[in-house]
Amino acid sequence: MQNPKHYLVLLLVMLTFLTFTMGSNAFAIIPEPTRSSDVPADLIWDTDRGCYISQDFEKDLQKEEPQIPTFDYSVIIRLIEKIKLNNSLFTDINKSPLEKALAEYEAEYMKNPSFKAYYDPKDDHALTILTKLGVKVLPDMMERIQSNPEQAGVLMYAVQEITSVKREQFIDASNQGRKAWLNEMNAVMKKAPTTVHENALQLENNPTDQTAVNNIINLGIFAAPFVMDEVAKGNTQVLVCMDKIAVAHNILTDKNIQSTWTDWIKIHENDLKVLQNMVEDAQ
Amino acid sequence: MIVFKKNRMMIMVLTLVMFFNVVPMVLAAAPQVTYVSPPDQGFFLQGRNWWASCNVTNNPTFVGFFYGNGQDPWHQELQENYQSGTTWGGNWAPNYWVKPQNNGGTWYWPYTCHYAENGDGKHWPYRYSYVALGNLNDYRGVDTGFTYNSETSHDFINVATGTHAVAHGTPNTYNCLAYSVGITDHWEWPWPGTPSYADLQTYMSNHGFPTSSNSLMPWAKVIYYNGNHFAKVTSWDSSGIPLTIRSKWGTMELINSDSYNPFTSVYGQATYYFK
Repeated sequence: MQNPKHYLVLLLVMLTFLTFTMGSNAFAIIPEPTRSSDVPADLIWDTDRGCYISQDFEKDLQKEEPQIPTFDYSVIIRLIEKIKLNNSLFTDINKSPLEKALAEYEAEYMKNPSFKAYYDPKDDHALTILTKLGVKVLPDMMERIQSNPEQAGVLMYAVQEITSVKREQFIDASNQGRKAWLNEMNAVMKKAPTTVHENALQLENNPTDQTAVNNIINLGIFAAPFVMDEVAKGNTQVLVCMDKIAVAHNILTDKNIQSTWTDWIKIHENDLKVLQNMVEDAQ
Repeated sequence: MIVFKKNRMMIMVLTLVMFFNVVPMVLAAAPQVTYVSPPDQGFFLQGRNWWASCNVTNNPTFVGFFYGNGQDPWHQELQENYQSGTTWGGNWAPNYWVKPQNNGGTWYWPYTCHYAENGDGKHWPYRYSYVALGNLNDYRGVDTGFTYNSETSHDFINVATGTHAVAHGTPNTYNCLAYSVGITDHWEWPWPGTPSYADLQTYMSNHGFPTSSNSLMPWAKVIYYNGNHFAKVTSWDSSGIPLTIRSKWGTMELINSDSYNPFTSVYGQATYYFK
């Protein structure tokens, strides 16, 4: 094709073809097949895609997308100035051990966000960031469960791990669920002194009384201060319960419960005071 | 004569006042920033580089790019470098997620902002931008057909909502089950683990889906997958077979899928159908 006119003609033919084919696709309307009575009334036929779609979805779609926030423009400059001043907002000044642990836990979560629809503490290796804080943060955790619904779920799991209180694993972090859970925990604390004392007497008479053992085990770590009292009175049979409660806490070994227990009391004097105070507050 | 002198004095005073007040205002010029990129209302994957740039006039002494949800923490992403003309920019490699603001189940865009300053002032235009919780492999690991052509053409519908481990009833987040029954302000999972078919039938019936089937059911509106996942059906063919679905991926985003059974073993196979 030496003649440039031929190129021009070819180009025109190609353009016409492209316009025709693309245009015909872009404006194609796919008609609805004869609508059977099975088609739910709330579905409409999408003539572009050739399928049924939900009217509700079309209405909801806008709601489901992120919305444009209404906010004070100066907020941004205040935040920027704060960064420039501090060089970092991740300052640990004035943060309690629990606040620091929660921030660390959150950072860990962001490294491995969860696709799962339900939470299983067994899958959450980062939960130890909270549980390793131990008994001393229990009052702070309980307070936050009441005051911070967003953090309550994970804190409820952490408290259950730390205290070893035997209860159903299912956690309900709704307002009602948290209230019920806190009442349940308070009830455990409330009955701890009497339950330990009564069942310790049972064990003194019958060291193999499994019901008495279970009654104390169900109190979890809240039994510890009162088991200590019983041991101080000379009833060492009750220590078998602590052996079971404390497995999760690596407190005791099986060789010489009594001497290990004495050592543990010395090391955890402050923890025992915390537990005692919590139980007293619950009375 | 005295009146004339008085007037002349007044004019002189006024001129001086004008000179000392207006002239410095004209000469002192804060930077003026024009936001160029990244685009407005984009979803940005982690694990990628994005070009962030702006045009700045009036000799800025600092140009930076920031990201956040309008609350603490607000992050400086990069200090932008001078390119040419009035253009400043840099590579943005987002590698963390901030929880978007929300209110009663409505979720809001976070912001990106180009900020410039000089001795005379500052200017900080912003756009709406969202950094996703994961990278492309994370999403393709769940749905191999997950589409991500660009920041504004993808299968994302809404932002991710989770921060902590979540229990049933946790507010300011939601999951697949909640979404499938129209809830976006709290997490729903009223069972200690995997629910039975009977559990699901009771729950779905109580939430407006009384008919169920353990085989593909025409015109199904909600599908349960045996990896503990739920999705809403968004379109059907003319015989009622589901074509596309939308679902909330745990604490992650609300996402469209291009078939009704698109998931890998993470969420498993379509198992029960409800309408």
